[in-house]
Amino acid sequence: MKPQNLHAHEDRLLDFAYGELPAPDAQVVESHLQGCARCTQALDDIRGVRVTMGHLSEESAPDAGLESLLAYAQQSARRASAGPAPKPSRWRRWLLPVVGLASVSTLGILTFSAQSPELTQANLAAAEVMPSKKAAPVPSASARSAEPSAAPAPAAAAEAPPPPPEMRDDDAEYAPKDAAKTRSAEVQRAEGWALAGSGGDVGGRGRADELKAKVKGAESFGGKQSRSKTAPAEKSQREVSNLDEEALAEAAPAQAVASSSPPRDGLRLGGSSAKKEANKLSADDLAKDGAWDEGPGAPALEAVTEPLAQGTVVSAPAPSSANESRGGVAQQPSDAREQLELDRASASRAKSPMKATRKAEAVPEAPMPRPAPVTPAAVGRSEAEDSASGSSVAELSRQAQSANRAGDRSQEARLLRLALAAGASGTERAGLLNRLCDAELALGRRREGLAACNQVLTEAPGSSAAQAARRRLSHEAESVETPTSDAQPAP
Amino acid sequence: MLAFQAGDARAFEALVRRHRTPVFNFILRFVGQRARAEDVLQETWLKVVRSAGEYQAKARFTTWVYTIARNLCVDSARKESYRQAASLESPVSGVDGEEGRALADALPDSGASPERGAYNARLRPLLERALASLPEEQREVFILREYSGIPFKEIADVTGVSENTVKSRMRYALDGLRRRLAELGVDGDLAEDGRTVVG
Repeated sequence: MKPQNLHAHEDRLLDFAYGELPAPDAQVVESHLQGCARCTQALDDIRGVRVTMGHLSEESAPDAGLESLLAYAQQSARRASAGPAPKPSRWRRWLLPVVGLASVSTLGILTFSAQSPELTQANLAAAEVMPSKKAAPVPSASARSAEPSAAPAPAAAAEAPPPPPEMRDDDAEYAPKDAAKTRSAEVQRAEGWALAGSGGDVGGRGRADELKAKVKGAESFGGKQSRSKTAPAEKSQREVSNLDEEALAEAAPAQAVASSSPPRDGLRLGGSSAKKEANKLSADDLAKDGAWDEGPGAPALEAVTEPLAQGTVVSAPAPSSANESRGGVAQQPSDAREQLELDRASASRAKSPMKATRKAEAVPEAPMPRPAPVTPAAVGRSEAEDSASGSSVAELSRQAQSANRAGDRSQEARLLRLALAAGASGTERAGLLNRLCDAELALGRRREGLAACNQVLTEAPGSSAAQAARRRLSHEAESVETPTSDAQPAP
Repeated sequence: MLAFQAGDARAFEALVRRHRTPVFNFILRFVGQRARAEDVLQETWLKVVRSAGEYQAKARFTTWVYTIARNLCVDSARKESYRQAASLESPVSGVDGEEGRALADALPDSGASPERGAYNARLRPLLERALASLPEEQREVFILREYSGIPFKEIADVTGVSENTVKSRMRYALDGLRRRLAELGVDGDLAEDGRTVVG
């Protein structure tokens, strides 16, 4: 037998020993084994090992873990039979982000809604400032354009210095207004956050009300000064004294542009009043005051004679003037008054064009009103109100003047009407009517104010009060025209 | 297995009951330690359950399950070697064609008893020692073919080598066992008679 064949048989012996050879091949091997001792020995060796190792008995598998294995298999089989098991997981995979997004959206909406009061306040504050921004510059522009025709007479006739101080007053007054506006916006935002965070800043509101009352008092303090005999000049100077030096410096170049800006003065009811209190109150307080002064219910409170309500009454003209500015009748009341005041102030301040000197002058020129405290003024109003019915014309006039100093124009108008009803006559009556005209226009009651001015012209056409009333009416007419032209570009 | 894939848990139970003991014996003779064998057995069936979706009908279930068991045995043996926890049955060395030497060889032989009643009790450790002396690749082929009844062709599938390699390893395993049994004093012929050469 060749070695190759032998090797081939040995390979087949293994298959033959384990019975893996097909029957024909197995017969061939068997026939070969009968004549081949070597292959027979090899096969015997294989069989001998198999027999020996076959005594190694089979061990049974442990039962430990069998039950848990079958339970696990059962669970797996249920999942397999469920089929679309992965779908829920996929759905859950989407559910979490969707729910999270919805939560964030809800939170954002809630935050926005919580911010909306703040935004409303900011809008209100902006609405209050808007007349100063929207109406004032445009009227000033129109005034600049109209200045050569209408205003130049007094301005040109007077000395050159007086107009610039007036312009400085106005411009400088305007510059802090913008700064105060931005500050007020920030404060409004912060206040809004406080409201949003706590769900309503009761304390903050109370504080704002308190500060508002203080501001009202201070505002009335300013109004009181303006109503005094030297009021026009004093008021302007006091306003200037409250301005920053830098703002004045910035406002200086604008002096050459126009000689006067009545529309800006009209904003003093809301804006300049806030500036007046800048000495006593912070910009934050002013911003809050500007926001709280606005309100639909404020005009309705004009008729209220209670001292507490009078603090709000002062704020009434602000929204009305703002509304009128949009409607085309803006700033007329204060414009007429301010023009009168400015005319007087221009004369009184002719010697002191510089604001620093004017600042110094403001103190001695107004020694009377400044010491007047805010709270006693309110108390005095209530006392004057109690005694108004039985007082004489002079007493009522004095009380009305006190109310004017306190800034309570409504009370002033009421007392003036009482004084007129008490039987005032002659020059005194004309003066009372003139003051009533001023007070009514300042309160935004244009019709009543015009009626009072017309009554002065009718009853005492040649008096100085009639001249003032005529001047006030002319300015009123101008301011009526100006806002209409301003209202045109408005949306 | 296809029934189990379809969700029939009882089919799996039938598979387990049919193949559990052969698989366990394969594992036990592969790893040589009962505790480890039990762990590997449980792990094997858990893997069968987890991998049920991957089973394809073109292969026999026996081949598939032994492949899983064999791989787990190899992993377990490697872990054991990493721990260097030398087993008495583990061979010191050995490659194809060479017989591995077990540490148990250094131990004194308890000797063979002429009494027939004690034959199995004394023969079994010798057989286990002889089997453990085989290199891993020879041992697995011998176990799969001799005890599990897996044909050489399927053993090639399980072990991932060619059929000829499997047969070659089988021949080496048979030669090694024969020599080792002779060294241990176990004669196949005598064993049939209930006697031992050594003794």
